[in-house]
This record gives sequence, C-alpha cells and structure tokens, in this order.
Amino acid sequence: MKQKTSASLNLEEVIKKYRPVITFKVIKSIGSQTPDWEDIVEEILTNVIEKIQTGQFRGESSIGTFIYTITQRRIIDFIRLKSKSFSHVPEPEPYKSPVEALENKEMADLAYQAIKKLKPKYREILYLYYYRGLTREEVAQRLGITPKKVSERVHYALKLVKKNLKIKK
Amino acid sequence: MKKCQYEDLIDDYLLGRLSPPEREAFEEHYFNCSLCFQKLQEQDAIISVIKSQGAELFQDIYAREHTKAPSWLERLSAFLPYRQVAVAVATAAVVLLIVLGINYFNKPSSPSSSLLMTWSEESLSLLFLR
Repeated sequence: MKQKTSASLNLEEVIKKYRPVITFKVIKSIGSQTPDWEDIVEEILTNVIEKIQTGQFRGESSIGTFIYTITQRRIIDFIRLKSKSFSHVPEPEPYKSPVEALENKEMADLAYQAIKKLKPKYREILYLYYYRGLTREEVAQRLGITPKKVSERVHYALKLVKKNLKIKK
Repeated sequence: MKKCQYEDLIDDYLLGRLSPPEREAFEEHYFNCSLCFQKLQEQDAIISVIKSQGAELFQDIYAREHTKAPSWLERLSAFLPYRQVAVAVATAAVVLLIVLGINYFNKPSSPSSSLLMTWSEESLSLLFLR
C-alpha cells in the first residue's frame, strides 16, 4: 500500500484523529496526575505539524508510526529530564483515572452501573481478574474452571458492559 | 468482521503484562488502527472503574471472601441461644447424677467392691485421725 506523504496530508484531520491517541499514550506513560501531560500533548502535536509542513514526513512509514515515534521520543525526553531533577521519579500509577482525564466521566458512571447489574459469576470474574489482579491461571484454579473458560467469561462480561455503554451513548 | 490479531493484547497491555518490545509493538499498532484504539479506550474505561471503585462495586464478594468459616461451637451457639445451651448442660448433668446414683444403690455389693470400700474407709479414717 502506498503511504501518504506530507503534501497529501490534511493537517486538520491528522490533529483531530491523533489528539486522543497521543493523549492516551502520554497519560499511560506519565500518569494523569503529572500536571505537564497537557503541555506535552500540545508540544507533540506542534512538533508533528512542523515536521509535516517542512516535508520531513516522506511516507516511508505510516503516519501513525511517524506520530508514534515522535510521541515516544518526547515522553522519553520528559522522563529523562525529570530523572535529572529528582533523584527518584515515582513510577506513574497504571490507573490514575485516565477516564476523568479524557473527560469520560459519563462513560465511567455507565460502566459502574453496568458492572453492578451483572450476574454474580461475571462480577466475580471481573473482581478476581481485574480488581485483585490475579492471572488467568490463578482465577481458573480458584474457581475450578479452565483458563480458557476464564478468558471466555471475562470476554463475555466485558461484552455485556460495553453493550450497555453503547446503548446509553 | 475479521478480528484484529492485536485485539487479544489489549487486556495484557492495560494490566501491564506485556514485555517492553511487545508493549511498543502494540502501541505502534494502536496509533495505526482506530478500531483497536476505540476498543482500548472502552476497555480502559471499564478497568479504571473496576480499579478505582472496586471496593464499593464488589463489597459483597469481598466480604464473603474475607469471612472465615465459623467453628462448630460458633455454629451451635448461633443455632441455640446461650440460655438454652446452659439449661441443656444443667439438665444433662442432673440426669447423669441421677443415673449414677440409681446405679450405685441398686448394684449388689461384690466382695471386691466391699474390700475396696473397707480399704478406702480405713485410709480416710487414718488420714483424719492424724
């Protein structure tokens, strides 16, 4: 497949499409509690626009990979800078409520209600697998079922919750 | 609709269970696949809710899991109130005493038992005389 080049890209579309993706990646890497995350997202977007405008995107890779590389480099720079200013940089917590950061509070409320309404066996599997953080094998051993069955049950529980999210959207 | 091969990695990515190269490959993928990114966002929202509000969401399961099984005595006392247990024990003691008493007085005295009695009476009288 022929990749797009700088000249053939619509900048507005690129920003619209990639802002949430970059935001997600930045928050996952440095945590939404780090106050700089919004500035970093803006810097990355500015950098992407500059590179596209100056013809540095030559279509050797996909635009997604191009933006991912810029994002990754900026995050590494940020972490290195922070490591120099602090002797110890606290590890970002994996779940620093990116839901709120992404202004998906409503989605979180819907998810909460949907989980609450699930049958006990589905709630239990979500509890053990996600809340307690047990592996598939550990959950399987605990419930006396196979790891494959655990995956199926988790998948089905998520499907039910997602279905609820889509209906209410 | 054909399933994306990276879809199965969403969970492991969100739970931090991917190796660094796997994680990078997956991240690069979701920068290129809007369908996977959409699923990733949805799943992240659900897992975030579970992680942040799980204590409240799974209160009943947690309580059930952390309640130890009661001992037989606790189960009995739960079944019978303390007063009933006390009355039952007292009644059993009285019945036992009556049975032993009846048994003692109705028993024909054998030479060995009379010998035993004499010996015990003698030793008791000696003890008191001292």
